[in-house]
Amino acid sequence: MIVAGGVTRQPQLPWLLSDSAPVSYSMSKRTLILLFFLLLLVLHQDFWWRSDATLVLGIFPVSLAYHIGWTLLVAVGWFLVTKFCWPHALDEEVSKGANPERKPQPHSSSR
Amino acid sequence: MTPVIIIGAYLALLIVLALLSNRYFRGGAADYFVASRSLGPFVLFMAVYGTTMTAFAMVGSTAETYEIGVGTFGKLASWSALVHSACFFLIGVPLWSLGKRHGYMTQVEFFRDRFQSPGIGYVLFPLLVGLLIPYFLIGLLGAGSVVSGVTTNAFPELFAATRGAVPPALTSAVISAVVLFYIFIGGARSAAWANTFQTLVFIAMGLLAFWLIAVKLGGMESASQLANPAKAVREGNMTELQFFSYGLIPLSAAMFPHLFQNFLTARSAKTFKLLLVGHPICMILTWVPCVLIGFWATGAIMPGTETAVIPAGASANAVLGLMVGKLTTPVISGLVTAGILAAIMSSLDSQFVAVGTMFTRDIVVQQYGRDRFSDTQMVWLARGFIVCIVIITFLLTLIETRQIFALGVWCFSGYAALSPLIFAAIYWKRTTRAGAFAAVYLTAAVWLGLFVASDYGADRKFLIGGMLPVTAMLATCVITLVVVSLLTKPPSDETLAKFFPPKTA
Repeated sequence: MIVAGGVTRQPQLPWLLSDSAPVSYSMSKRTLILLFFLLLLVLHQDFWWRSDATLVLGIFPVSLAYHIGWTLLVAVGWFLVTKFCWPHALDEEVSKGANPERKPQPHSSSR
Repeated sequence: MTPVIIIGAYLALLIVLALLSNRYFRGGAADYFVASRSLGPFVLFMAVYGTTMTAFAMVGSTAETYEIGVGTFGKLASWSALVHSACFFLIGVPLWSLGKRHGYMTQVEFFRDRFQSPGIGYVLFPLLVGLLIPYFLIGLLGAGSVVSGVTTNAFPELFAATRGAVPPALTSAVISAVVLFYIFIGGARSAAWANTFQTLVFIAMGLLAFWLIAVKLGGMESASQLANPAKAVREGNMTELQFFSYGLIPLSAAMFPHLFQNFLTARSAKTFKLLLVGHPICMILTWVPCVLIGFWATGAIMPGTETAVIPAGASANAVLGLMVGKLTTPVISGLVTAGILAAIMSSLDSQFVAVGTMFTRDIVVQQYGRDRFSDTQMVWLARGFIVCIVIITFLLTLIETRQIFALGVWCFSGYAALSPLIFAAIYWKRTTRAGAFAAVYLTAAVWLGLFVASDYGADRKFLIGGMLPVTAMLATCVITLVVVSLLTKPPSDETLAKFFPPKTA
């Protein structure tokens, strides 16, 4: 359980729609990170280098160099997710409610 | 002969590693199938990364770049860097959590519970396992062809029929036997340990080959100057729509049964953090060297001569082998081959464990009841099924296989097309059992129809509206799932409470 701004919250799925930190703080970070990923999605389509055979540093074709940089930004984006969008309380919640290993149970209802 | 010795030594090392990991085997089904949900961040990261990278990451990326240019990195690697990590976060972490809470070990167990239907399991099981078989074939055939390539003329008397090369069937058999050995003795834990080692090997060998080839060609700058500028651009090599639609293929990571099982081996949710951030970085480390080798191959000449390194008419799949073989030493050639085999085996092992687990849990126990078999018997049932699947796959490698590599993209497309099902099951309360059945049936029908229309995968330029067929399959799945779910009775309150607990306590 997490107390945020006087409201008791329970981590749940999906956590992109839930909170594990004070709302005003996490929502702005979360929105910015989401916008960052949306921007990356758009920027993947680098049609502007489509016919450009320039070699960056004399080694990397410009489109390849661009996509290497783009991929590094993806790593940065996921790092930010682990910092600001992570469901920190999930481990505790799961260990509280975890079941011992079970065997599959036949369901009473069928299609 | 040198490469064979190095490959042999590498396989022996794997066996030793398996024996070591066996000392940590705790016995029982939970340890065999999901390593007792105990793996830490580094081993999970290496295991998952190794599983997602097949021979294609090394041999295929070089070949594809040689044929259609450096756009190969953008259409396959950079898209995967984003989408795979998204799947790990949006699908992997929730599934780990649900698996831990409710004791799931397979995808089918989750879907049966979520949709309150044993039937969905019987529909999904053959689809999920069926789509894995081409994946096995690609691995075994890839191993056979790579070893055959580097051992040509090595054994002229012993293997006269194959110009002295180790026959592909023998390589496939040995690779299968080694993978079977280490997963037999330790299951998911052995596979994870072996994957960790193998992932480090194939990344290191790719970098080593890259460096030595660059030096031999007079430096990276000189090698790039010699390359064909037409392969430095996307113009004339692929359309923008094709480039865009490749972004849908990595969604397959959300539905791969072996990745599902890998997710469940995690010790905690935070174990996934390294995976999310490390995956894109390792994509760069693995793919960029191979893509540049493929690019350089388009213009590389043997030092001190005017002879092209890659002879006209050479198969694209042979490019990496030729570049390494002609521009480095036999020792390096052997090490790089071991790296390629590492990439192949690090996928095969998880897949073998996954099919064994699925058969045992989703079919046998479902049919005969939960108390019918002991833990030990379940492990042996899994092993037995794995052996059957490996034998079938091995026999398939002996028959006509010209089109098998083309099947790869169809196999990935099938999993990607079904990915809306798992996203909806986790995030959309209104998803219904009828919606799930309709989406699976219709997506499978569209997949089959398009597969036939593409001449069973032979037409590699088969597109729909300029985009890859996966676009149409995925759209079918999404539309069917949404429309049928909205038209049918919502899930019970009990089910919703189990999968979507109340937000405020």
